[in-house]
This record gives sequence, structure tokens and C-alpha cells, in this order.
Amino acid sequence: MSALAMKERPQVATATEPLAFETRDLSKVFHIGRKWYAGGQPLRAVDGVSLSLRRGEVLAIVGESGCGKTTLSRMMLGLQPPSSGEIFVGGEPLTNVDRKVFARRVQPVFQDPYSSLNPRKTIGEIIRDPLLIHNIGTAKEQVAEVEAMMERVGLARRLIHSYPSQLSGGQRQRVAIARALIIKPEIIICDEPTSALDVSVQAQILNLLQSLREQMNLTYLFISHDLSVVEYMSDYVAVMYLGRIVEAGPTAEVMNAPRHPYTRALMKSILTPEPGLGLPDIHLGRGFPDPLNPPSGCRFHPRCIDAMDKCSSVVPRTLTDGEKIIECHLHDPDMAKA
Amino acid sequence: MSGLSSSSDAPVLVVDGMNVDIAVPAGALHAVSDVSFSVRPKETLCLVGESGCGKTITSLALMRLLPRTATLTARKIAFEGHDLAKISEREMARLRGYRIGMIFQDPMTSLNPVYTIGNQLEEVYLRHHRGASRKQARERAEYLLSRVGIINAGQRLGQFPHQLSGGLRQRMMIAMMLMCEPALIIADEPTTALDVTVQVQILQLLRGLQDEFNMAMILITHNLGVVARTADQVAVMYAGRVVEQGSAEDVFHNPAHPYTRGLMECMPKHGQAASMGRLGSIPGIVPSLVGNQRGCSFRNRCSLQMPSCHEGQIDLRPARGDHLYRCLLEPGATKPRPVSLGSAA
Repeated sequence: MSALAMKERPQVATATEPLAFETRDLSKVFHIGRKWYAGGQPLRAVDGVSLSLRRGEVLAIVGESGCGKTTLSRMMLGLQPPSSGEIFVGGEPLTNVDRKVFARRVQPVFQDPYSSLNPRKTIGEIIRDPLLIHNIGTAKEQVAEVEAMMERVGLARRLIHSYPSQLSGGQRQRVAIARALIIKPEIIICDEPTSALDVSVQAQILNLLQSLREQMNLTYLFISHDLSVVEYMSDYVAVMYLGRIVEAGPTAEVMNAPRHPYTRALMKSILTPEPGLGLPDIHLGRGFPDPLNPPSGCRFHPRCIDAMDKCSSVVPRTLTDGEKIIECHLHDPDMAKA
Repeated sequence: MSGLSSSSDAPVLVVDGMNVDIAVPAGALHAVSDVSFSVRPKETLCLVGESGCGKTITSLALMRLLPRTATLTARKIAFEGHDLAKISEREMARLRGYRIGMIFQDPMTSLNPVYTIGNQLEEVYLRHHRGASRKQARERAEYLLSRVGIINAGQRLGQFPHQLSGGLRQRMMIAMMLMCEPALIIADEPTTALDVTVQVQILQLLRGLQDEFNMAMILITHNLGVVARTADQVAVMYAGRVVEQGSAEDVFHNPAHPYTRGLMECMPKHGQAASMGRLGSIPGIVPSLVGNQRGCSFRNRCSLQMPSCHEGQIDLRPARGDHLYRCLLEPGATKPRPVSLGSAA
């Protein structure tokens, strides 16, 4: 593995190659409560999200629970149709297509390897299932493919007839990764893939994901609330707050010089293992706002220490600067003047 | 044994040579072996380690909430003039929740979904204060809810646990624990299920309350960041034993045991990207704790193992002052000791 680590990163896509994935103005609105005939109260879980990523890169999405990360990932997996907006994979529109078509190209690795594997099936059956569903290869080829994939993710071949209950958490997550990769998808959606694991196992799984990405030129959408993991894993990061991307850009730039007050608060809340520093003061007020009744103007203003008068009335524009995106009046030259 | 001699207070809790064995079909599983520590008022002791290392069993043993198949033995577990290893179940029930408070990882599963918050808070108080009226209990509950930062405390008392967010539920658990002003808090992964921003707020709250109510805390976590920022003393556990113990500064700045160093290398650091190389990892898995344990329990995963690691009993020994570790090598060694006295490598 160390030899691989020395190898150069895969070539970034050239201008002619289509983006690995793109979302344009993607939104999801749920209707909560009341009666079915009355329509319910709208909850904008994801609100106009536009993201794109080149092949072989990793985009991380960070934010607190309830910010819409998981809804976004479910739309990316084709598990939930978007209310509006479009998803493109490899340049082709994949909005409202059959789930099976989606699944060939986008595969998930979920948070909890204890509940994402069928306890009644053997490891071999679990990893082989996608090949059966998509009808790929003969039975013999499928078994050979399963064995090759198990070796690739670091699972001993003798485990092929074992059941998930006989495996450790790290081994189970390797099974989930093997199952996701067996039909050779282009994009892997990792939804908190290591938050149920111990630190030493987390390191093994993160290293494995990095090696596989380099070997197979995979693209990851990496969802996590652990910012030190995000910093390690991703090329780009998007910070989500109440369904909107409030800041996005190359990971190193966003992490080293966060511009949005919310990103700054998130960065401050990382507890680095340095004794003597005590607990940071994050000035984030109490409580996440009610998504059914989002604050007016900038949605972050009730918790923001730098909030100005207009923050509560004027919705901030999306400002783009090269690869960086920000939605904040503090960084809007027109607003700062006024 | 306590790391901080500056504090003149006597320790609230002294644990000396605690063992927990669990009967399993294959024999006895040594879940906790020879654990000793002490905590003083206002002090925080962090128990760190990975799943299966015995952190939670240690905390359950202190509360005497072990499963029936487990046996607890100790030279001494001294708490406010009682020996927790010896007192009767009846006496223990009087201390539990009254003098020793506990906070669990997942507040949703440790609260009763069919009773209101007010009901559950009052119950703790009424149980331990004979003759107290429901009105007094309600007043105290309301005061404590506002004390832990819940707005509209009076209104919240009538709500059910599912109507609260994770952070609010954890605040409510803390209020519940405070109902009787315990001398010792045992917090088992209190912030693991919470967002990073809420985690910081809850830890700050606990720290402040500890000073205000003069409480000692045993904090159990696997998050080294939480340990570094909250602990006065740290005990690193592996396979049921404490492998390193000392002040937070000593353990983080001069880790003596190879396992502690391995854990620290597993954590992605600020400024570290995957393109700069792989994370350190500890290969292998935790050994089985069934049967007789000889030698060092970490040896199979240790890059520095020597033939002598397989034999005998390895005792905790001082690295420097109160900083203890359980390894045959010099503290912080990066190479195995050269083989001497003709023993074959």
C-alpha cells in the first residue's frame, strides 16, 4: 500500500471529458403534516443545490444533522426523485430514470455496516447480488469476480461463506465497499462511512477508499460531520446549512481560510488532540432553526455573530470566485458598501 | 496515584485492583483486569479505548449494573465511606442516581418514551428525598432545566422525549443527573451521537456544572480530541487493562505505550490530505479475553514486539512521576529493545 501512496494522483479530466456528475438547481420539498388533500406544509430539505465534480475527485458535504446532506445523497442515488432540478452523470441526464439505470452508475456505502448487510445471506451472496440483479456474466464469472473483489478490498477468501454476524465492523464495511464496487460504478456515495467504526479501523477504511479511488479512478461524494476526516479525504468541500450550500471550494482553501461565519464556527468546533487548550468558544447560539419555518433573509443570521441589519431581510446572493462559492453578505462587495 | 497533587481535596472515588470476569460457555472472559484509579472533586478522568476494551464494563461495574453472569472483585472501591464492591444491593440502590449520576450515549434509548420529561425528572428527586412534595420536585426540575440551558423550561416539562432534539435530550439527561447533586458523574460517550457543534456546547456545560457543584467526572470516550480538551487525567484501556495512565499533558505529549502512539497516528490531523500519504493504522484486531492472559495483550498488533512480550505478567510501571505505562520497552521507544543475554530473536 505504501508504494501506491507514493504514486501520483490520477490525471484530472481534460476539458473535453464530461464531468463525473453535476447537479443543477436541485431541490427537494417534502410536505409535512395536515391532510393529504390540504397539501401540507412545505419543508425545503434541499434548496437549489448546484454542484459538479470531475472524475477521480472527492467532494465532501459537511453540515449539522437536518441540513439536507442525506436527502441530497438519496437523490444522487436515485432513491428519491428531486422536486425540481437535474442530475447529470457522465454528461447524461439521469433525472427521473429507472432506479436500475441509476444503480449501475452510482452506488452507496452507508454509515452502519451492521444494518446495511442482510444477516441471512453469506458474504459471497451479498457481494454477488448486484451482478445477479443486473444480469452480468455467467455464474462462474460472477463467482470469480466476487473473489477478485474480496481480495481487492482486503477480505480473506475463506470469509466467502461467512455471515455478517461473524465479521467485525471494519470487515463488514469492507463487504459493503466490495458490494458497491462489483458492478463497476463511476460514483460512490459514502454517507458517514466510518462514523460507526473505531479510530484504528476508521484509518484502515479511509486508506482503503483512497487506494481504490486511485486504482479504479472512482469519484466519491463523501458525506461526513467529522471535519478532520473530510480534510483528509476530499479535494473539494461544500458546507450545507438548511438545504443551501453556503460555502464551497477546494478543501485546503476552505479549511485553512474559512470565509462564511458558519464554516468558521464548524472549523472551531473541531477538537484537535491538544491538551491544555480547553474547549473552544464557538459562538453559535443555541439550537438549529426549525426547517419548517426557516429564518427570513440569510437563514444563518439568528446564529451568526457577524450579522448585520440587512441579514435578516435580504437573502444573500451566490457569489462565485473561480472554484469557490459563498453565500454571505459579508463577502458581497455591493452589500459591504451599502 | 492521582496525577494532580495541587488539589488538596481527598479523592471522591478510589478504585484499587478492580477485576470483572464474565462467565461465557468457553470459560471466564476477563473483561476488566487490575484497573486502579482515583478522581478528586472537580477533576475529570477520561477512559479512552476502542470498542471491547472494557471502558463501558468499568463504568457499569462502578454503578453495580453488571449483567448477572459477571463477577466483580476488587481490593477496594472506596466512595464516600462505602466500599462499592462489598455493599448490599439495597445500599447501592440508595447511592445510584443520588450520589453517583450517570449519563449515557444515546439519550433517546435511556429515557422512557411514554412519560413526560417533568415526570421523569421528578421521579428521581422523589425517590431519594422521602417526604418531598411533588411541587418541590417540579420546582427543582424547572430550575435545573433552565440551568442546563433549556429555554421555556416550564413548558418543556410537559413534553415527551421524542419532541426534543438530540442536543436537548442530552441536556435533559444532564438535568436529570443533577436532580440530586451527585458527587460523581459517570458519562459514557455523552456526545458521540451529537453534532460537532452541539458536542462542544454539551462538554462546556458539563465542565461548568462540575465546577459549580464540585463534582468529579469519569468520562468515557473513544474520541481523542474530546479527551485532550476535557481530561485532567487519562487512562488508556486495551483488552480490559489500563495500558497507560497519567495527566493529559503527559499522555498526549509523551505517549509511552505503543498502542497510545498508534491511536494518535490513526487520527487525521489538521492540514493532512490523502495526497500527502496514508494514515497510520493499527493492523489486526483485539484479542480474545477468554481464558488465562499471559504477556502483553497488545503484542500481536505491535510493531515492536519481542519474545519477552509473550511471557509472564507485565505490570504498570512509571514513565515519569505519576505517568504509568504497561510495556517492557522504555517509554516512547520506537525500536524493539536489542536482544541481550543470548535469547534468540
